[in-house]
Amino acid sequence: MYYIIEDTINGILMGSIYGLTAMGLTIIFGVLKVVNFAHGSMLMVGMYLAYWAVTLSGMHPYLAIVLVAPAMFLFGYTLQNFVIKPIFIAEKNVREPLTVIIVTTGIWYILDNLTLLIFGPQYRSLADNPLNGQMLEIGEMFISVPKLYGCITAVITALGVYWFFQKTDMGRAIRATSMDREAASLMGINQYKIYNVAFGIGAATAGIAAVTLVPFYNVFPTVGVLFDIKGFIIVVLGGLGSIGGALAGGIIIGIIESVGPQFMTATWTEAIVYGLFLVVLFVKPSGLFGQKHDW
Amino acid sequence: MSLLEINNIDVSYGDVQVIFDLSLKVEKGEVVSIIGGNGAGKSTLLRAISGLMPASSGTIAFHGVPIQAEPPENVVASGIIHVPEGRRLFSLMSVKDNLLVGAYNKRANKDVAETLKNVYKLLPRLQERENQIAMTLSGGEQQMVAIGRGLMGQPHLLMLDEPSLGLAPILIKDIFETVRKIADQGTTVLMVEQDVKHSLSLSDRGYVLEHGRVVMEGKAEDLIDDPHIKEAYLGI
Ligand SMILES: Nc1ncnc2c1ncn2[C@@H]1O[C@H](COP(=O)(O)OP(=O)(O)OP(=O)(O)O)[C@@H](O)[C@H]1O
Ligand SMILES: [Mg+2]
Repeated sequence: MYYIIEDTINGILMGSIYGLTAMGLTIIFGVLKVVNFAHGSMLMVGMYLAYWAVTLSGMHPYLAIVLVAPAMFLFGYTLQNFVIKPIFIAEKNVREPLTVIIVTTGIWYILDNLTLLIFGPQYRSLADNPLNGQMLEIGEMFISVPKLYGCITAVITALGVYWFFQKTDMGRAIRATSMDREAASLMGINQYKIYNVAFGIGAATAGIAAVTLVPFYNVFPTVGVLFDIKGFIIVVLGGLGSIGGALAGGIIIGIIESVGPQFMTATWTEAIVYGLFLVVLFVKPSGLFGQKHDW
Repeated sequence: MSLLEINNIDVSYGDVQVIFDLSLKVEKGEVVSIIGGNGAGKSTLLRAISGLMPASSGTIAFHGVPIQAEPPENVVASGIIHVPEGRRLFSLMSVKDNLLVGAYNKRANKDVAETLKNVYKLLPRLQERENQIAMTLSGGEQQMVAIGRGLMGQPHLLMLDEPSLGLAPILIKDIFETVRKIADQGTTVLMVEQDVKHSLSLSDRGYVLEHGRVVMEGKAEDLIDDPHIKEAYLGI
């Protein structure tokens, strides 16, 4: 019995980190209406940034947030402004331009291969960071401390992003653009600038997710791919464009992955995750958690 | 110098030309109506002015400054606010958030609180409903939000595209009274309407658009009495 509670708790913790890795994907989709296939690669870039920041300076791994989040915001903003925006402008009259998806796929390949070229294929880890291997002991249960930190960070980030979208002028303009681009432009909103900011925020959340991962997760050039696939499943489960949905979707996957192996082999838990994904796609394509965009 | 001066514009959707060699003027303080049947090009004309659908030739000047090549956000910044056909509210946002987005442009953003107070005074219903999600409002309330959202942008020229569309007669009266009040408070109004009687009776001047061309223009009271208009638009 204890095992199941312990696994559930650790599943929730890891799942909320999954949710955090997918948050940017859902934000970017909600506003630009395109799937960003480079999202996992942005996470990977964030992980290298965090890894080197901590390794070179010896700072606490979580302190890297103050560096990685703004750097990733700038990275996302610039990427959208100089690489993706021109395609949007060229395809002005297309509602969901396929070429943009192709471009994000190209960015994914370029980032992953560039990283491979610069840093090589080896796995890197922050072996002697203060969170590594830390466990919290509650009765007979062991709770992973770095994952607990990650979970708290995920919740704070979700609340912060939600607050920003609800309560600031820029946040309202982003929501307006996500609902009706043309009407938004009649309010004086430059949709391309909004895309830049949304992409920047998406990249920044990937950067925050990266910081929560490096204390216990290996860094390597294709690390993003693992999270990409999970990310797509999570945002479909939670509802494309929904921030709370991303967290909830992540937690569902985290629990299945962590409790499942008590009852079956790991391949089966994966089958359950994909099965759930397909069922949701067929039965409730807007996701388990309601509206198309809840912000 | 007129507030808005359009000279000989052509507008096309791809290969299909919709507006032909159209010229039009709006003076400061006027209420001007554009009337015409379905597909005459009324909405397209407003879209050309607001920069959504740039004219392929001709000029549009506002306060004497050419704007025909400007994107919508610059046109808004110059003081033209376009309340589009079909209201186009931000459907999942609250009434208040819709209004606040209306004040996004820099000029209006400086005194949002003040403008919001004035809009609530003009449209008290919106204050009662400020936390309601726009999608769940009645058609009349939605139109009020659309107009209020336009006013939040502090227009020098307010362009309304068929504000009475799809509303019950009693609400239509409300809407036109509201437009009258807005004009009385000093905002210049350019209004597209199919409810010819109501719109002309509160306008100073009118233009009649048919197949993308101005076929008639003049003082509103003269247009109301015109036999062609009586027959074609008033069904008398
Ligand atoms: N996006 C578009 N693509 C192609 N043609 C269009 C488009 N929008 C409008 N048109 C055409 O342009 C013409 C004028 O349309 P417009 O919407 O300006 O008319 P309108 O006078 O506003 O009509 P209504 O009173 O029905 O709103 C119509 O023939 C219409 O079919
Ligand atoms: Mg129209």
